[in-house]
Amino acid sequence: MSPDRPAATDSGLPTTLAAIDRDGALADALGRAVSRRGFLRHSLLGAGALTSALGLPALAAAAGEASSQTDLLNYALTLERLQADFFTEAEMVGVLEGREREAARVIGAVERAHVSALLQSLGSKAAPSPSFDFRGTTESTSSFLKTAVAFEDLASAAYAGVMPDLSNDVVGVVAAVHTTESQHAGWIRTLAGTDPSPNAIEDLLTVKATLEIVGSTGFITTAPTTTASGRPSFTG
Amino acid sequence: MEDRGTHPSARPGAGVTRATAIAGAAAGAALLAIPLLADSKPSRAADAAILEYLILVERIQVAFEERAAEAGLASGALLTYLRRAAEQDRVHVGELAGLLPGPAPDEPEIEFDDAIFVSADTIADAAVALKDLALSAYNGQAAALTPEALTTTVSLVAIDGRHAGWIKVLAKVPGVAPEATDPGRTEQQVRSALGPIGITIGGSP
Repeated sequence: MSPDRPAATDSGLPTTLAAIDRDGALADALGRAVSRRGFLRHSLLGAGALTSALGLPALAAAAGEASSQTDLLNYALTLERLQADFFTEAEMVGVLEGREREAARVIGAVERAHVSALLQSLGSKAAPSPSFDFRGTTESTSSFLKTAVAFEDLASAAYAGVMPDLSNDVVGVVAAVHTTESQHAGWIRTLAGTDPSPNAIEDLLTVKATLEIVGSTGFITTAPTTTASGRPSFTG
Repeated sequence: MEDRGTHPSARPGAGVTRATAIAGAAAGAALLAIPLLADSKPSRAADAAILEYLILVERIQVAFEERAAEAGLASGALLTYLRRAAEQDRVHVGELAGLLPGPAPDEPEIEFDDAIFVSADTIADAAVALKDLALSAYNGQAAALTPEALTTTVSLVAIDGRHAGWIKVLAKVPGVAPEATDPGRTEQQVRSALGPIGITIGGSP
């Protein structure tokens, strides 16, 4: 299943990008975000089709069954790849100047370091990378900032959501990564002229909610390559 | 266990310091070598002591931010930051206290060197150092907390992270936040780092 491509708004940005704008709209759009008091030790995914579209291994399928640690690290890897590719592209496109250019360069280096570390940790269990198309959002300062805000907000909330499910031997390391994403969120929001910290308490995003938001951006362009050689035998 | 006593935000100087840049690639490799700081299995009983310590960390921040906001030296964006951070860090104290089985401990006396409140720049530098210290305090306890407690603490440290990114832009920290990781410190390391920043707790040196 591939995410449908949304129509563009008058601003030229796709509606799905507007939907992940953190300033008010995101909190309403999430709906599925689990309150932190209710989110204990479960990643209820039921998003097999979406994870397939993202090229991720099937995450916990059975209701109530926690994801494997490998699956959770691959989930983090996917989020880091999304960010790393975005900031790398923004730096390479070269329209940014001043503090925005510095942000793309420095945050990109950090996200690439996160990708490297997760790849090293996962080894042969690392999920393949999806292909990304950032649909022109790296080609102007305003769209770069809006997208960067959405990505860093997402990463801060997504890492917070997954941390209680991690095993003891990785939670300290992931905590050390999580807060860098939160710092990026405060940083890039300050550059964007958006309130860097509108809430006293961060929302926690479930894996399912995060993957749905990522899918809704339209930035993921590849469906997994099928290995089936024959025509399907179902009837329409 | 790595000695964090010479961490950039704990170096003695004019009482306040700035974070230094760390190459992203090198830090990425170092990420895998970060030692675990928890020595024992998490339990609800162990949570209580850790939460009381994190309450102190947040109280220190509130005390600094409130005094800095009232010092008459900060204006504009810096003053907005100080007031917002104080307001939200106060909420964090309440959230952490809500997890305790009993009442929160009384707030100790928190004293600051006068050198911190000399100019907007010294205030901004101290704010940066304190936020980095807070992040390291939380991250140093992540592996020691039960998942139930962690569910709350991650939602609070994320906000401290936002504060850190925000103040680092205002304070014009080189590279803003170039580190690939924000490693944790033990409680002892955090307490030892307060003096070089110009903070003393309970009147002790």
